[in-house]
Amino acid sequence: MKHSKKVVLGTLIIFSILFLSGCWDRVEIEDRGYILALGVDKYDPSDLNKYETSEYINLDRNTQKFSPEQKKPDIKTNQKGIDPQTKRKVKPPLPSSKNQYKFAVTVLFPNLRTIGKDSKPDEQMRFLFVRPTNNVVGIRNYLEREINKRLYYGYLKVVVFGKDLAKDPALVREALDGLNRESDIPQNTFLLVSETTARDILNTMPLVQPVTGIHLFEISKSASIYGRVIDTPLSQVVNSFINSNCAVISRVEPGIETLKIAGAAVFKNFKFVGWMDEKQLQVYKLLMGKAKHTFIDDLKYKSSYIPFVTTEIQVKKKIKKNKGKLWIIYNLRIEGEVTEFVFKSDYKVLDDPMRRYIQTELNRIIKQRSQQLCYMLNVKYNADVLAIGDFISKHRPKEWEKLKKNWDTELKKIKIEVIPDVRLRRSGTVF
Amino acid sequence: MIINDNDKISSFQCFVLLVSVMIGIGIMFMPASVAKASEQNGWFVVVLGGILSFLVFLLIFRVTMINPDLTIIELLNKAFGKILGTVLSFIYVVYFVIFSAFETRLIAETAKEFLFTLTPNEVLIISFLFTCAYISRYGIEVIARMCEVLMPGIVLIIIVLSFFVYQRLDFSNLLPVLNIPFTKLIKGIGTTIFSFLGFEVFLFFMPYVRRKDKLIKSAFFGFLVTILLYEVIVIFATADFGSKVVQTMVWPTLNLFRDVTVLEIVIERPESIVVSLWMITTYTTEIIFLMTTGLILARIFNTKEHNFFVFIQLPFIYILSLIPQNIAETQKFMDYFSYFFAFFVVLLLPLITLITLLIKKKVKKYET
Repeated sequence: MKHSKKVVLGTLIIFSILFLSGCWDRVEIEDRGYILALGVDKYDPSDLNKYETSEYINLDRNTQKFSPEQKKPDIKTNQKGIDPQTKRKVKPPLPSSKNQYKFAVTVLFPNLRTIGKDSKPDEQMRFLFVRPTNNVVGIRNYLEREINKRLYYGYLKVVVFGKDLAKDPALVREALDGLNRESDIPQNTFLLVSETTARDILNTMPLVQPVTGIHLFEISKSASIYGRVIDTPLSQVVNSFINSNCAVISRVEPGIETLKIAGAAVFKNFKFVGWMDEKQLQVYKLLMGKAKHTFIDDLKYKSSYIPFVTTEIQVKKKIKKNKGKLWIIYNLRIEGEVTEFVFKSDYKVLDDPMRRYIQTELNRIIKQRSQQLCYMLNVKYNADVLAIGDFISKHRPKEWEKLKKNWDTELKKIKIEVIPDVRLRRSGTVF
Repeated sequence: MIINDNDKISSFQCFVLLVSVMIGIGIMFMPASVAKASEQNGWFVVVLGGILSFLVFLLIFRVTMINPDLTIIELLNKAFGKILGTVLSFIYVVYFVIFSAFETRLIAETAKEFLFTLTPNEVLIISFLFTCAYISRYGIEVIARMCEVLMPGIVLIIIVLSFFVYQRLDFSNLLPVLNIPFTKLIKGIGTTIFSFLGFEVFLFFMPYVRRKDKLIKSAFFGFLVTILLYEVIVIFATADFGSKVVQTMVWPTLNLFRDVTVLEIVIERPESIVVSLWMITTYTTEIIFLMTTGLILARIFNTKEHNFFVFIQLPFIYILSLIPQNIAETQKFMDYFSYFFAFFVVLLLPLITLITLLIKKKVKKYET
């Protein structure tokens, strides 16, 4: 009996030793590359020439913190796209008949060593790699051979599409599918469309936050408060593509020393059809009920512009049928405040002639702008990004059955009426 | 088989056992399969499926109340004779073994996808089965206590996570209400059945229940909690993604909770929490199944203890769980399983037994 107990104990110890080696394949945090941003461009054989133009090099110089006196050497790369001197700046290899790819994907990940105590002050904050590939998400597997870090998609913050890619529906579909399918990629990754190429965007080092991915992510995140920026997380874009074949994706513009998120790109059937500029986007967000603090500064009184900041917005949509035509009625109830006015003017902002003037003028402006926007989206772009079809299918399912067969032409016929109701509530600390 | 008084379960434990056995891995993909069948009316289908299951439970209760001191095994023997009765009892063994195999495969599949990407499937399955078998050796009362500890935590965490999801829901996605043909609703009910299955273990638990008269009441609350939990998840998934998008997802429930961000630093990617949570729910289901199979075999072979039989079934579960090629095939098999096998075992067989015994006039009248 005693003997068998010892045997059992021995086997248990040996068995548990097997499991105690659990951490043998751990990866330290510095050895990981948390991909923060992906830039997806259409592979362009003439792409590389662009890198060699003086225009691009100037932009590059401006965006990286070089003073004008300090001359940055013009970068000439060899056939493989590697700068022979530093071997750091890697560009896509020169095109030949052998390497015709679909995408040029830019990968950005931060240098985690700069967070630690023993970091050098001149160390690079982030790394950027551009590779031509045939698959977007598969870029990680191409990079495995040349980067000594475990690349991980779990903290992906933004994905930027180049403008050329956006114009090609087949490529957009491929890219979207890859992003949606990979289980590591968070569904709240923000999608953006670049005005130029995605590589230009990610190559820019914004002054305030040099890690471009975080810069774009943090601006997009505040979109729930500010009116001029729209946030388009991956899940939302995928949902609207599945539901209505159309989507709005936020736009990013390269600027000097920073990147600006402004306006949006409108997609129909996975194809880019046109831009929505900042002011149109404001109205779009109003109609979708997404804006909280929208800043409207079109209201002119004598020679000064009166800014109006909305503080609360309620949107109520209704369907009406009038003479065989469907009417969608938007009731916008907007509350807000005026925080600037003419000093020592005879009017009090909150009192009647002035208050009524501001309210009626704002109503007129919002109404006019939203009619223009609806015309542009429904007739010109013919993209149902206002989710009108979705709304009809929910509230008038029987009529939707008739309409959905040729919804594209039916969408043009639908009348939209916006009835804004602006209420001026506050005027800062002075009457 | 003599039942110790220590081995009897209270009515609260009955309630906990029912909830734990019903909430299993099925909930991970139920929103998708329900949406495929009946689009945005999934919430209604879940209620119907729950009510239907409760009616079947009432039938099971009636059958076991023929003689509350016996299980279905002895009743089968009485109704069909010793040989046929034993054969039919073995069908129950096969049923629970296959059921356990489904649960095991699916939890391993989920864990591999989201937690242990480099661990082989076989290792996940074996470690899961051994963990379950360890506790299943003990009696029903121990397992009921285990569920008592785990079940409230699961329900609580799901409710807490739901609060964080709530802000991004769009309930207009549930419109239009009930505009689909009746046949689609019926089809939808079929897809919910697998998620409700498990209550049939009470065919074997009746002798262990301390207050038989209160069983209906605790079963009612058990079904109520299960239906409510399923409702929360189905409604939230449909409201969040819309019924068209939910259909495209493999793990809609996980997608629902995975992007919950609490203060960015505290919880950023809770999918590992959700998956481990589901491991616990599947664990509670699995231990009850393993123990039930052990109990059935112990009764067939008329032995005192069931713990030996718990381990004997593990190789079978392991082999069966590796048969499907992928998750889609698993779900296909699961549909066949719940449409035909479960229909026969859970509904038809008890009903036939009841009718046969009624004809043979071996039914005692019982007082509630």
